[in-house]
Order: sequence, then structure tokens, then C-alpha cells
Amino acid sequence: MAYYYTKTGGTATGDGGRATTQRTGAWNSTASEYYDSVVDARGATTQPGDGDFILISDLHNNTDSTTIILNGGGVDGGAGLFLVSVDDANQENYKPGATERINSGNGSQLDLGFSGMMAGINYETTIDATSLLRANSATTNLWKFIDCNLTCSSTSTAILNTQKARSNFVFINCDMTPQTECFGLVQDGASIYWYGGKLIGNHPINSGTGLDGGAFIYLEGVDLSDVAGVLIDEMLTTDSLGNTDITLVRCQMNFLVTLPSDTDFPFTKTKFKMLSCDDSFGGGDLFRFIYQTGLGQARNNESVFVTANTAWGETSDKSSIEITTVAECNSREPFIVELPIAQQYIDLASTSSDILRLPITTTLTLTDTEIVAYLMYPDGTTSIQPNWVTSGATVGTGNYGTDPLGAGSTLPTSTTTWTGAKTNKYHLELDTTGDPGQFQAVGVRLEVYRPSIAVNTLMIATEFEVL
Amino acid sequence: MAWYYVKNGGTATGDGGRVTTQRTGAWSTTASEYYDTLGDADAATTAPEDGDFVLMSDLHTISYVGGFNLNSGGIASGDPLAIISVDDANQENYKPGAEETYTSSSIIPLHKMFMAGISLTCDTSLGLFQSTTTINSLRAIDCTFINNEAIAPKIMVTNASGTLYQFLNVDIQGYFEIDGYNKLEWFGGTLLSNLRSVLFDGPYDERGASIFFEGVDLSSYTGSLMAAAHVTNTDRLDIKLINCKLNSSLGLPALADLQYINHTSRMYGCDDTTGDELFNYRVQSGAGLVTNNNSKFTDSSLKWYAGSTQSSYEVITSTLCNPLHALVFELPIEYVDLSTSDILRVHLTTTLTLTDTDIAAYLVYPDSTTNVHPNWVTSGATIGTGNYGVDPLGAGTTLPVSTVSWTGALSNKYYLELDTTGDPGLAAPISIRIEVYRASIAATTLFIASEYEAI
Repeated sequence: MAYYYTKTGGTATGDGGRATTQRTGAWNSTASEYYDSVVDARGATTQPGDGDFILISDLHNNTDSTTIILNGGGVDGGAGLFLVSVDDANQENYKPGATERINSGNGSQLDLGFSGMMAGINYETTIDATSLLRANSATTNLWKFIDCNLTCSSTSTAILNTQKARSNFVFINCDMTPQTECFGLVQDGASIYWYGGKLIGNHPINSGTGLDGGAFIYLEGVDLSDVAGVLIDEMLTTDSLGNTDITLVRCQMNFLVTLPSDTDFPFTKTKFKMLSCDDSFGGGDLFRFIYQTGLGQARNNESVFVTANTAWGETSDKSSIEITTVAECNSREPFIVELPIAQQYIDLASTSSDILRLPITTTLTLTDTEIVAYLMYPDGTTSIQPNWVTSGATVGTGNYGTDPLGAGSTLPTSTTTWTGAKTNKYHLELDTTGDPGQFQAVGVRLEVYRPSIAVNTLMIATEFEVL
Repeated sequence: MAWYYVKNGGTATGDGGRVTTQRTGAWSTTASEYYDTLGDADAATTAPEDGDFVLMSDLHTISYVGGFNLNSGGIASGDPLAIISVDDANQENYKPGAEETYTSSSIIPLHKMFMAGISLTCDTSLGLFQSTTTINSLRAIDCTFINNEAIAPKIMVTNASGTLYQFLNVDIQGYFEIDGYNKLEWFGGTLLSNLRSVLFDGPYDERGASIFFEGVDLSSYTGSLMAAAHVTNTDRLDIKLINCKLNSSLGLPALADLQYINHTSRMYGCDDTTGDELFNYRVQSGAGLVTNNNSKFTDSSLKWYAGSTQSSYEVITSTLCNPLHALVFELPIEYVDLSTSDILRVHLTTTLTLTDTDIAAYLVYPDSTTNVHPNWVTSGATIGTGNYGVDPLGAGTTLPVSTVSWTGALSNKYYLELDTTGDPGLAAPISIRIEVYRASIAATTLFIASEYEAI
């Protein structure tokens, strides 16, 4: 393990700014003992690599004219290269503030090899480039950024291009200012996690997504309120074979944001989820629950709801889940809402709470081969034993799938009181009396087989009725 | 849209077994109106493709040399080709039962496929479903898939990128070879047997893989859950089993079998036939392993389901674990009213002296006045404001001492505190994320309570 010290004005060359014992106290006043830039530290005779630290004074403010590869000499599974901004007055302590700019090059400015971590650093490209960061063409394992400001101040520049199988990125409390999309060419099975921070400017989260194996993108607690236009740009659709999964949890949205449409996704294999997100006005609960694939969308609707249901959060809003499907939806390729749409703690061991009903209101006449709820629950006497029930029309015993050929029977009529009810009221019934369960958190999987369900025609309650 | 009819004994050739109006009632007694095999139907003059149905009598049973492509005329975005077993007495009705066996061969599904109620058997190491670059998805309901090959009884080989295999109530004999960021989802059904000693085989390269089983009976299987995922291949690998029935002798991955942090294996609510909650919670990555431990627990914690077992979560970390390669896992969701119970403590007992840069808890929760606004708190040592990551250089401060009562307590008792009083929250279902940065935490040295204390 070695430490490479970097601060504007340093004159170190070779291994002059490299130490094998971490320095403490105030920054060294001898300029030959620290490098002038990350590029210079990277160019040390003994190049920094796995397990090493490039420690940068929080007062550091430098502009480089060279694009670089970081940790290109690392190894798979190596400890990673750490670039950390430290307190100039007590250099053993972490303190955000170091600034590096790159004003040359037109590809990707920082080429991230193998593994590494940046903490407390402001990194900026001041010229037009493909991206500020990119996965190294051959090696990237994992790069993690904490408390960083990542900025593209010229045109046509994304923050990151993944474009490489096995590349993984984690951003924690990072503010990012792209000029195009934030993450470009997210494909080849790449994964991106972003916890906290802000996307600055009206730019999409990602673009060029889904090719060659798809991608995984997860944002939690990120402020996306500047995004008043397209949220997800250029999803690769029908020609893509990729499995892509994009999830936003508790993110702050702009009410003008343009969400992905049905046609933005290949049918079954791309999933877009928004959970507990909302717009900057709060209380509107506009984006509380969205689950979308290329076959359809489930989304909270605040104007139609079961009157007895519980309100959201601090507001008085109540919701239903509105379902829409595309023309291609059918029993062979259904719209599946995988997440629990009505998760509640229910005592399935009690004979007074072992039948669950999920109320529906709709303008359609619906049958039990058009929309089906599935419940998997642990057995009442042997919790190892997974029991299944379904509201769908099944054939034979033990078959959890719904009859793929039957027209089905019209769903049972419901008498539940709705606000904004449609012409028909039904329920999906999950009857566990034949195989008792336990007291547990219950969530259902919903499968919708009916094609072309239009907006404002089908709403599902957010809570079970328990009998 | 067209219908192709298949029952052994059929003599149809060309388009003889193909119709454009679905038949009803009893199966045709004219053999020239239906094909003898699925392969014969596939070889029709107008081959079945996207949106067509191949309907097989539930009495159909035949063995022959397969090796044919299915839906070769389809396109990536088309409707699936459906292959469905139907009632011989009322052929418009679905009825499971049709069987095909392929000798020294199997089949090659292309584009999108749907199967219901059929049993397919093969005996080749090429896999029951041979993948190509043009397979897109295969969804199967109420089916039985068997590979009798003695050495490598693969059900499928997912060497194309991004394939989705989705099985509902499917019984399987064989194992899964997965890579190419393919997804395998299996809801209900039974692993009949596996002639090989590994269930999920790699190499998980070329973009990794995603595997999700829910309510699957794996209790007859005593081999290894998965082949090792090597550090030279850091593609994302995500294996998750929920409420699956396991054998107590199942070979779980060793610490060295997942060598990078995006290699993950998770089990929630699984158990063996003894019902002792052996596999109720198990989260593993290349950075370490978390398992429910039933001999150490806070005395006030709840029991699992109807049983009498209480648990803690035992934490082990690998040599790879550090602030970059943290061991990350989520505690089970609890519903907490943060407007009244605004301090949460996660208790732990350990033989180690732990600091707030060795292990940290994180909570994202909705703001009490504007629930759009996500608030963050952490128990870890942070610098400045708003930074949710833990100080990457600091040695940290020893964690605060806990006084809660444990069964099986170790020498030290600490807690991780999440204090939301500075920015009040709401009543909400919350999930606490734990990150462990300390390397080489050995077995039986660190246990985390299964429930938070709300103050």
C-alpha cells in the first residue's frame, strides 16, 4: 500500500510524491513531495494501483489537458485504487473539496480500469467529449463514487458510458451535471446503483440502454426534480435481446417529466419501476407506484379508489392501481406485476381472515382468464411448504398457471364502495381455506392477459378485503 | 394465426394438419388431418411461427429423433408460438398430458415461445432447449421437462444474451447452464432430480445471469446449489430463492464460491423438511455472508412464523471486503411510525471491537412534511453535511454500548443508531441497509438482531 499526494503547485516527479507511510498533520510545504495533478500522480515511476491511495488536498484545484486510465494495471478482484480528498490542515482526515478538470480529448475523459473508489472529489470535463467517465474497454469491475460532483460543462457529454460487460458503478451522494444523458450506452449487463444526490439539469437518466444483455439501473433517494423532459431516452426495443431493469425508489421528480411509453420497451424483458417517488409539489402522489413492461403498465390513480382504503403518507390521497395493456398482451405473453400491489400483514391461519379479495372496478366485462391474482404463502403447519392459490381459471390440480385456451367465467361481482367507480365492480378471490396458512406479510402477483386495456378503464384496489 | 394439430398416429404432411379456424369437439378420426409429432408440425409447408398454436392431444405420446428448430420464422418482437396440450375429447379445451421424447437429440426454440401442459424429455448434453442467438423468451406452464443424459443433463443452455426463461408449476429433471445475462424465473413446481451435482452451472460470464425461484420444491436435491463464480468474471450474478423447500444436505456456496460483490446469492423464507428455519435468511456476495443464526438472538425478538425459533443474523466477511467492496444487505421491512418512534437502533453482539467505520446502517425515509423529499440518516462516521457514505479514511469511533438482553451474547454488545429527530419522518414501511466494511470477520464473531429497537 502506498500514498500518492496531490495538490496544485506540486512539483514531484517520478516517485517524489509517493510515500509508503501515510502522512499526518498539515500538508507538506515542500512542493517536490507532492504531485501537481492526478495525471502526474498516475505517471509516477511506481504507478498507483490496487490498494493504493491518491490523496488530494481539499484545496487542490487543477486543470489537466490529458485523459487518463485509472488503475489500468489492477487485477480482477483487487482491492481497488482509492482517490480521496483530504483536509489540507490534517491530511490524514477525509474532507471533500478537491477539484480536477480535464480540458482536452474528445472521447471519455477518465477511463476506469478494474476497481476503484473516489471520495469527495469534484471532477469536470470542460470540453465536448463522449463522456466524463467510462468503463475501461477491457477490464472494469467496479467503481464507486462518494460525495463527488461530476460535471460536464461542455456540450454533448454524458457522465458515464458503461458499454462493457461486467462493469459496475455505485454513486453515493453524488451530484451529476451531464449535458446529454447522465448514463449513456448502458448495456452489456452493466449495473448502476445511485443512492442520494442530484441530477442537475433537464437531462435523461440514461440512453442507449438494453443492447447485448441489457442493464440494471437502481436509483434511491435521488433528486430528479430538474428533469422536466424525457426521463428514459432511447431504450433499445424490438431488436434488443437484453433483460433491462430500471428502478427508482423515493426519488424526487418533476411533474413535467416524460415517463417511458409502452412502445419504449421490448415486451417482457424490460422492467421500469417507480416506488414512493413523487413530484416536487409533494402530496400529489403522482409517481407513487409505477410498474411497467412492454406489455403494460400499473400505476397509482388518485381519482378512483376504494372509499375505505388507507390514505398515502402525510396526505389524504387514496389510490387505486390503474392497469393498461398493449395489443400484444395475452396469456402467452402476459403483463406481470411482480411486486406486491397490496402487501398487508394478514393472519391466514384464522378462519376469519383466510379469504382475500382484491376489488376491481372497470368499464370492461372481465373473466378469470383475463386477469388473475396469484398468492404464494407458507403452510400453516409446515412453513417450509409453499402453498399456492390463484383467482384464475385452472385445469386439474396443482397447476398455478391459468387456462391458456379458455374464455373463462366472468369475475364475481363486488359490492365494495368505490369513489369514482366504473360500470362494473368485481373482485379477484384468493381462497386459502383448503390449505391454511400463517400470520404473515401477504403480497400477490398479478398477471393480466387481456390485450389493449385502455387508460381509465380498469382500476384495482390497493388493499385486500379480508374475510 | 393458424392451428397445427399433433397426435401420435397422425399422417399429415405438408399443411395437412394445419387449419386457420380452430377445431372444436372430439379429436379428428382422420389421421391425415393431424401430424404425428411436433417435429412434423414444425416441418409443415407453412411452418408454425409467431402467433400460431400447435395443439397436441393430451393422449399424445411419442419418442423420436428431434433436433429441429421451433419458430424459426418468427421475429424478436412477435407474438410467441404457443404449444399447448388439449383435451382429446374436446380439443378446444386445455388439458395437460401430451408427451414427447427426443432420442439423442432435443429441440431448439427460437424467438418467443409459450408451452402449456406438455412433457418433454431428452437425453443429450446439448440441453433440452438448445439456445441460439435468436431465442428471446420461453414461458412454460404446467409442464414437465426432463433430461436423462447421465453426465450433463442440462435443461437449457443460455448462451445467447438476454434470454428470459419463465416457468410456472413446471417439474424439472436436470440443471441450468446460465450466462449471457439471461433470466431464469421459476414459480412453483418440483425439481424431480438432477443427475449432476450442481443446479446452477456457470460460467455466468458474458454479462452474468439472474435467477429467481419462488415456492419451488428442491427438497430431493442434495448437490451443490451453484458452481463457483470466479473473480476473473465480474459480471452481475443475481440468484434469489424465496419460500423454496430445500434439503438439509443442499450444498450452499462457500465464501470462496462468490468472489466479487456483484455475485449475489440470496434466500428468504426457505427451509428444509425439518422446519427448523435453517435457510430463512441467507445473503451472500463476494464481500461476505449473512445467515440467520438460531442460537443467538435478542430475547425480545419475534419468532419465525408459527415456530418457536428466534434468530439473529450472523455476519462473515471475506478478505475482499473494504469500503469499496462493502458487504451490503437489507434487514426485513418493518412498518415504523417515525413521527413518534424517531430513533431506531440495530443491536449487535460480537467478540470484536467495532467502530462506526467498520459497519454502518443506512435509512432512507420520507420527510414528515413533504414526503416527496427523501431524508437520509446513517450510523456511520461521516464528514460534512449530506454525505451518506462513510469516511473512507477514518479509523472511526467505537460503537455505542447496548444493554439489550441476548441469548448467547458475546463479549461486546453494541448498537447502530439511526436518529431521524433532526429531520422528522412519517409512518412508513422502512428497510434498513447494513454495510460492513471490515474485512475477514470470522464465523461466530458478529451477530445482528433481527428487529430494530424503535425509541
